[in-house]
Order: sequence, then C-alpha cells, then structure tokens
Amino acid sequence: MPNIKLQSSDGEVFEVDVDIAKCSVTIKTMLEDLGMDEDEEEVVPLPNVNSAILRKVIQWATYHKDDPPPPEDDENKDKRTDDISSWDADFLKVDQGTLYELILAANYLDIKGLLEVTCKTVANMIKGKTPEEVRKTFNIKNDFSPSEEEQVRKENEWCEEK
Amino acid sequence: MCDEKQSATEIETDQTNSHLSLTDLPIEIFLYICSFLDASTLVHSLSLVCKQFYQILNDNSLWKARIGQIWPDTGYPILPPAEDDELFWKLSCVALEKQTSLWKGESSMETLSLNNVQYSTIDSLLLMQDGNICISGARDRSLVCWKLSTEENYSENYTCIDFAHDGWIWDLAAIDNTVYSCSWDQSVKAWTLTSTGLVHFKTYEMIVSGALLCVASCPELALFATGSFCKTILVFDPRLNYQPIIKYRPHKRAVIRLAMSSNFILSASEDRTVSIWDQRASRTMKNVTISQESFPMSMCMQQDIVYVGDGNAKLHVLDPKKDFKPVKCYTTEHKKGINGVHVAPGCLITSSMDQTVRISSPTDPPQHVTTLKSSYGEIASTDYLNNVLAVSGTEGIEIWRPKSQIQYA
Repeated sequence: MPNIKLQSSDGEVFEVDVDIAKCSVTIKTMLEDLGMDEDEEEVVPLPNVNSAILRKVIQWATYHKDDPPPPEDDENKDKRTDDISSWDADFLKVDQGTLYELILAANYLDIKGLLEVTCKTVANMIKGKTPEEVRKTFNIKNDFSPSEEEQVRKENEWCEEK
Repeated sequence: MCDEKQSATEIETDQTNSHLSLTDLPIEIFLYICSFLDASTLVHSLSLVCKQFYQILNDNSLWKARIGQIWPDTGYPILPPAEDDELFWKLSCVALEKQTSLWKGESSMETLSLNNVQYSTIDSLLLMQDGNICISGARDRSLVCWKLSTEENYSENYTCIDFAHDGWIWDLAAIDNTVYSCSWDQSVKAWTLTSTGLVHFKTYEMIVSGALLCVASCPELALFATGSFCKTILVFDPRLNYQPIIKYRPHKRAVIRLAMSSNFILSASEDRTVSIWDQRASRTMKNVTISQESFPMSMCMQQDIVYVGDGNAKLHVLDPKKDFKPVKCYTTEHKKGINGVHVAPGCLITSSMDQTVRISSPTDPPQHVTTLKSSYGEIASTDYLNNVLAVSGTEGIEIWRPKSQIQYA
C-alpha cells in the first residue's frame, strides 16, 4: 500500500495509507487536482489541523477505512442520533474543546462520516435539556436581560399553544 | 449563575489546550447540529440559551427550509396567512414536526374505547376541556358525558342521560361550559357541564317544522345557530329569550352542516351549495356551488381558509379573501364521502363513511401521514381538540391521544 505524508499545523509529519487519507475529500481532491504521483515523496500540508487532532482524525479514518461510502447528501433522511456505534462513542469521549476541533477538522478535511458523528454527539448533549441546563453543559453565559428572556419565552410559549 | 462550576467537571485531556466553545463554531456547523434536533428543542430550549442562538434560530429561511424537508415537493401553507405574522414559520414548523412524529410514531399515541353505554349509532361528538371530556349523543336519544382518564384519575367514567331528547340527537356545540344539542325532535337543548356531568337548563322549542340536523356556536359572540331539514337556519343569543335573533332560508334543500366564526356563518346543504352569511351585514353574501355531482358533507372554517368535504370523497378549499371562491380541489384516497374535516396546526384530518380517518399534511397537495380504521363500523361523527381525536360509529367511540405532551410546553 502506498503511503502519503501529511503535515500538521505544528509541523509534525504523519505517514498514512493513501486510501485512508482519501476518506478526506479535501485531500482526495488535492491529490487529483495536483496530479500528485503516489510514489513521490511529497508532503501535504494541512495548516488548519494540529497534530493532536490530526492523530485522532487518522485513528478514526483507519478504523472506518472499510466503511461503505456515505450516501449522497439526502436532506430528507431520518435525522436520528441514537445510531452512534460504541467504538465511535468511546472515541468521542473527549473534552468539548477537542470535540469542536474534531468537528472543525472534519469540516475542513471534508470527512462526512466524522462530521456527522461528531455533530450528532453535540446534538445528543443538547437533547432533553432546559435552557439553563444547556448553558451549564456548554458553559454559555446567559446574555439576555430578565425582561428579554421573559419576552422570548412568552413568544415561544405562544408558539406552542397556537 | 452556575457558570463557574462548569470547568471543574470538564474532563481535561492532554491532547489539546483548546478553549473552543459551542458558540465559536461557524454558523453552518451550528445549523448542521441543529438539523439533528427537533424544532421544539430549538424553539423551547436552544433559542433561550443566549442571544447568538436566538438570532440564528429566528431566521425564517431556516424554518421554511425545514418545512420543505418534512414535506418536499408540496406548497405550505395551502393559502397564505391573512396577517403578516413574524412567528408564522417557526410556529408552523414546530406544529408540522410534532404532528408528523405523533401520527407516524408507532407508540406515541394511545387509543381508548368508550362503549357499552349507547346502543345505537352515535351521530354527535364534542370534545371539551382540552380533550379530557367527550360528550356523545346517539340515536337512542341518550346523551353521555365521558370523563377520560388522566394522570390523576386512571379510569374512564361517564354519566348518561337516557332520554335527553325525543328523537335522534344529531349534532352538538358548546359555548364555554354550556353544551347545545340538536335533535330530530325539533328542539335544541342547553346543558351545563358540571363536575358530575350534564345538567339540563333550557329547551329551545323550534318554530320550524322538520328535524334539526346541525348546530354550531361562536363562543366569541356567545351565539349559536341551528340548521333544519326544512332549509331554515336560526341564530340564537342565549342571553336573550327563546326567540331566534335571526332566521334565514338560503338553501333549496336540507341544511346539513354549519360552521360559525365571529364574521360569518357557513351552511352546507343537500342543494350542493355552501351559503355564506355575513353576520355584520346580516345578509347572505352568496351561495357557492361545491360540485355538480355531490353535496358538501363537512366543513372546517378558519380565518384564512375553509375546507369542505363532499360526498364524492373530494376536499375543496375556499378562500375567504376571495369572497369564499373555491380555489383548490383535492381528490382524496377515501372511497366514500368525507363526513368530517378538522384542521389543526400541523395536520389535516378527514373522516369518511368508508370507515377510515386519514391524517394528512396541511400542504398543497395534502400528503398522507397515516390512516386509522374505525372499530365501530361506518363513522358517524368525529371531533378534534388539543391533539385528541374522537371518532364514533355504531355503539362506540374511539379516542386517539398523545401519550405524553411536549416537554417544554
């Protein structure tokens, strides 16, 4: 299997199987557009991903290398979030900062499966919580004044009643 | 107020020193996360967290897109709302998602059967008090008040008035806690709903000959109207005496259904027309011919739209802004006439003499959500209130209602 070298923002170089690296549409397109020969000792720079995150991304991609290709973007498919595999759930037991970095990396590298599972994980952290619980979970400051909050709440209550 | 405590509970790893927060994610990623959450969570929880989320989620294009995903290739709403309502799209999306998941979810609704009390066809149903009370009138002349089980009170109970009328009880309406029943005995009786059932307090003996086939009320004006086999419509003000305040005769044949708002009284007749009475002008505006083949059997009037079901299983839409002109006509999958139509935010309910109730989307054209089969033969009456659906046939009533209501309601 030919390998490819990926360089993180902090300069670390990772040698990865080309097929695994190509689960990133960004890298795949880059290789195709630049006509990079797989034998060449070229290093692909990834200035938006640091080494800690890149290591996790490669770990995820390696585990999922034999997954069937994701279906074409289907906006109408069932938006369920209870279908995260136990491996992915374990893999994503990380602090929130890392989770968001993974989301940003998955978005930048265009890895649909990783973006989906990380965003589902965040959605699950929001589900079933009151606004105050969401603020606590995500350490978000309530910047509504009491009267503004009351107004929004009323408006939305009305929305439910109608 | 507990913000400071949060950092202590976070699992710090050595992998990153990132201080990224959910609020730092690009908007398209935030919206992608939102796509995995239901509209109710977005409106009742996420919108209230902080101004940033509120502003992102207050964008009508977001809600329009979500509605387009729930019901692709359809138009929503069927007719544009009369007033420019800032919350319209948000409100619609929550309702559409809620109703679709309620009726599509296999275990989200529970059914109750109310039977062994009335031994004939139950032609009239009325849900009251948020759907916790169901009134039913039957051909055996009995009027029953059912108290449905609630969290506090586990079992159904009922009180029955055996000879409420001297003829078939054909229709029911209410103003606040007063129930009006109309009958083939040519009278409308008024009943007060009490904690122990219905108590009779007034009888309106009609000055018309012929059975009374329908009664409708307008709680805002505290008026009720009844329509008769002999083509007459009578409007009463219960605060006055027993005489009708208005009496008019807009049809050539029997009046079979009435719908009332504070501006209009609509009457459906076997003469194949729906007549529109303008309450403020106190005159008939026009008669609208619904179909050449069959007559209107059911109506549902809202401010911006009127639905009429006919004997050929077609559903017609009249536009009040265009003088009640028929603007749409849908062929439904019902095999017989549509004798009940109810519209709630998020769903359209039609019942038919083919023994089925169809739940559809309130879109152009309506899309099928689910079909319910009557357990008591041909459907005689239906009512819908606060997500509770009541359907009656011969000797029994079936109730469909959500097992649990939305969390942050």
